[in-house]
Amino acid sequence: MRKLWRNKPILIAIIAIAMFLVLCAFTLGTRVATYAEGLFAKAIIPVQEFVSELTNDVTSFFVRVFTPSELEQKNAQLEAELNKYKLLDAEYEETSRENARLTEILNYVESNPNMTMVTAQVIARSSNEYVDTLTLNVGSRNGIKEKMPVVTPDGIVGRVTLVGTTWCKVRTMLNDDMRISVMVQRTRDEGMFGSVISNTGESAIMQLYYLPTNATVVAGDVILTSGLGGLFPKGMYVGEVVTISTGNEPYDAGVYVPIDFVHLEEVMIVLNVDEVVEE
Amino acid sequence: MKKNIYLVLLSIVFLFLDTAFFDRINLYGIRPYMVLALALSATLTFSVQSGIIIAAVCGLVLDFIGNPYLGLTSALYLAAVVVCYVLVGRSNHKKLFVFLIMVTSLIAMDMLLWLLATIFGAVVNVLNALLLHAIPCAIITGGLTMLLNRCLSPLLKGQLERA
Repeated sequence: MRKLWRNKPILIAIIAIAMFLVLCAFTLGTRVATYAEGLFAKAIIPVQEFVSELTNDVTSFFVRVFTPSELEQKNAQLEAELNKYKLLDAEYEETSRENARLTEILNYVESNPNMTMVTAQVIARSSNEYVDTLTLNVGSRNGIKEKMPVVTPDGIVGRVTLVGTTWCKVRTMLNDDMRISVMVQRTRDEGMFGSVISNTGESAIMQLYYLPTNATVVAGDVILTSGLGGLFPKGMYVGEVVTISTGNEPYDAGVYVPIDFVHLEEVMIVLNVDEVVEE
Repeated sequence: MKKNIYLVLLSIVFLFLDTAFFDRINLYGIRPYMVLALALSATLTFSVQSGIIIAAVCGLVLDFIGNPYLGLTSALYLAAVVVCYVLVGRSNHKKLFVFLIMVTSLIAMDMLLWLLATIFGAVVNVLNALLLHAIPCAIITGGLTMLLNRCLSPLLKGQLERA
């Protein structure tokens, strides 16, 4: 044991562990990015964006190769004679899918003219299973600030927690400490939303609780943001009730959230949330 | 010099594999931790200093790119390197013993992360975390470490064994 303490590298490693733990304690929670982080991001974020796009291209290619579809079956028939058209079609498929995603985003933006939104690409995700964080390729240069809501046409993704010049980090609704104030569209009953009941990857079911005791929520009810708290504009789609508590669960209802958090590629950040909440 | 160049290049490649590739390509969350495997194999093959530097620097970059905090990944990776060096070092233990020690320390590291997440409000079933994530990831990472150890060993040719 004495030999261990005399081993300089081990001693340095133990001191470094303590210092990193202190750094971690100081960097938890919502904060402003430091100058050093901004400088480091200038070098790392563009490379991460490139690698992320390359990975998306590679995975899309393998998904197309191993997932039969009508278009690919037709391509398989033509492949023997015209190989070059298979490659051209693959490029078209990718462009079409990207176009469909971006068209959906554009339609969502145009249907909400009172909200100013910035579209961002997801370039990284948290490296462990217990904290769900996204890194986006927009930052303070694009008008992003802490606590701004992050959405897609399918619903609420989460909230910005850390902002750099050209990047920001988003804490998603999958984290158990994320809560938003919501209401039932039909009855206007208000409650709280958060905490995952189940998550299949392509969608999630999350808890709705603190409803009034006389609330009559039923399966099929649409849940919207209530605007209370000023963090999310009122009336944004959150999800749809799919299960009602039998009384033994610590929540009132389970809400289906149709967001594929694992495969998110583009999201939108609402910039003028203060103005929209006041309306 | 050659060894350092290989380690730097591998660190950069494995960093981006960890942040971009295995983030999307995994089996229900089961994936190897490439940077950790490199740090442990560098500790086993070359010296504990190599493992410490890779764990500290790459852990910090991993936190910066994908996590809301800074330093926790570095601290955990450093702890894994220290435990591995203390229990195994560079002596000629049987490969199975080395593999088991590494898998055990990796499982302990993942469980520590689960414990910290639980303290800060996450609700994750401990059995699911252990059986569906910690153990499979530890086995894959441990296997990858042994493989890297074998691949990096030729770089030691011609050098004297440390006393």
